[in-house]
Amino acid sequence: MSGWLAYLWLEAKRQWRDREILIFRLGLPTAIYLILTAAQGDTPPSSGPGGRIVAVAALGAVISGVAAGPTLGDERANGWLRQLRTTPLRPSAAVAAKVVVAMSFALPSIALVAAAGAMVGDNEGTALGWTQWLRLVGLMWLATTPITALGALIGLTFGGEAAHGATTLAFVVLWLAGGIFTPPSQMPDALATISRALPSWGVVQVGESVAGGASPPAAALAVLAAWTVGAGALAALAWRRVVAR
Amino acid sequence: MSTDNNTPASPTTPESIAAFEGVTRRYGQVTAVDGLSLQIQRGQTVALLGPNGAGKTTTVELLLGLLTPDQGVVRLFGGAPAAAVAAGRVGVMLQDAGLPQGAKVAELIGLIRGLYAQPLSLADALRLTDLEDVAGRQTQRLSGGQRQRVRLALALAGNPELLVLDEPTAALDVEARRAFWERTRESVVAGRTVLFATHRLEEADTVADRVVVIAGGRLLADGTPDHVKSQAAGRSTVSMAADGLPRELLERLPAVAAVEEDRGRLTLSTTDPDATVRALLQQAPDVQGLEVTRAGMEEAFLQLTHEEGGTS
Repeated sequence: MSGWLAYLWLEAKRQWRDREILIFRLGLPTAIYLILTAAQGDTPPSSGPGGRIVAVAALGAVISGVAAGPTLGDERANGWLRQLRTTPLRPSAAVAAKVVVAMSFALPSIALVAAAGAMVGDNEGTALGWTQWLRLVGLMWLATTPITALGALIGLTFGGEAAHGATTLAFVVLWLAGGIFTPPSQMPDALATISRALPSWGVVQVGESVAGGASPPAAALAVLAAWTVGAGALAALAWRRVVAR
Repeated sequence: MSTDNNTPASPTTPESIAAFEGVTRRYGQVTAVDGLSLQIQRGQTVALLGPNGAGKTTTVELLLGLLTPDQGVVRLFGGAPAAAVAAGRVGVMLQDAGLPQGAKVAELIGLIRGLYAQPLSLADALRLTDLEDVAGRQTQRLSGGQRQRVRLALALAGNPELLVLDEPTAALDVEARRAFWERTRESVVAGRTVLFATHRLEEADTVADRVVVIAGGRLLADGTPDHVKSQAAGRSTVSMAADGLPRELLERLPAVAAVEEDRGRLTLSTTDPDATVRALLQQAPDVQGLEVTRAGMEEAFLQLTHEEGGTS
């Protein structure tokens, strides 16, 4: 356990001091929210309650979530993961640390968008109280877990440059097809079916249900749980392959 | 103490901390390690010597449990290699392993200290590897020599019983190599066992008290540096322009142990250059560009490995 904490601490310090990471993961979603609000003004949101706030916060969750991919991919390619394998650090602990650090960016990323929404926006038709804001941020953050597991899976499956490419691809798919700005109800049937199976749709569903004062729908929770278990298990298998070469 | 040449593996004695018993490892068609049997005793400084492609890295990775043997058994501290690694008994410097971007030198050493039960102090780890001045520097701002020292520091910081270094000086120039070994020797306290892979005979000669020579994945020689050198000593080379000389003719000349062809020149290794040259001039009187060289240490080692390994 103490070994895991030592690795977690190193990873957290290393990533949190990187200015590019901070700008991309924390600054970008908030900037997108502000730009969209300025451009679209008070046009009613196309999707459900909390519309733009939830959509952009989900985008931030995806950006931070898949970020475990490139760092693992780089460290797999340059041999650092193999070096760690010669120490008492348990492999699963190393992957868990990457996921936790990715999650540590997702929380402020979502919170900053929510804060911008609370201050600048008109709550977009929803009047949220303090507890609802906290619930919104907290539950959307927890719903990001399967996306970080997906990021870890990508980083362990593809080394180096390929990991960057695969991460970008995953990001684009989750962004465009994942129900963030275009709800599945406005998509062709086939694409809508895919969209409702993606974890980003689950994150949006959780956000909209909280903003609308309801509990998250069971279908969304099932999708999120399935991705967490599935991507997590595949990441564990991929780790074994990295080690066995 | 060193074992005699080619001693077959005996049952693990209390002294022995690492053992290979008839270990073979293949990659597809290539046999990287071929029936290797070897024991390492506590307190030894062992050089694993061989040319590039000899199977050194594979041997190291088998020892650490990063690879599993296709045949045979590898034991480390009496059990499975992975268990010894998990127990923190081994410190490792892999060949060319990178460092994570954005981490500071002291933080990386701190990580290793957090992973091992009885680590060196941060101050000691920095001092032994001469990294005090760059302790607060991020890895991407280090020079090549500094990175190498950081990797040594990571291997040492856990204060392990066994130190394993795979080609630790491959990327360094002559000066830096000498400094590296001075530092490493200083930091190896009594009782610690060291295994390092190298393709430089002079490193094995000056640093190790036991040299294990492998090529083509097979054990060629095992003993003190003097013993290994004497096995390869007494050789000379005779070289000449190739000019269509038949190899078979050269191979049949007296005292010739091996024939090599490189960039239009044929090189014979011989134990008796006088006899070889006399016979050569009789059988090929037109031979051009004749040169006779007494074997230095490097050549002697190359002959030893080419003669019997030869696959790489």
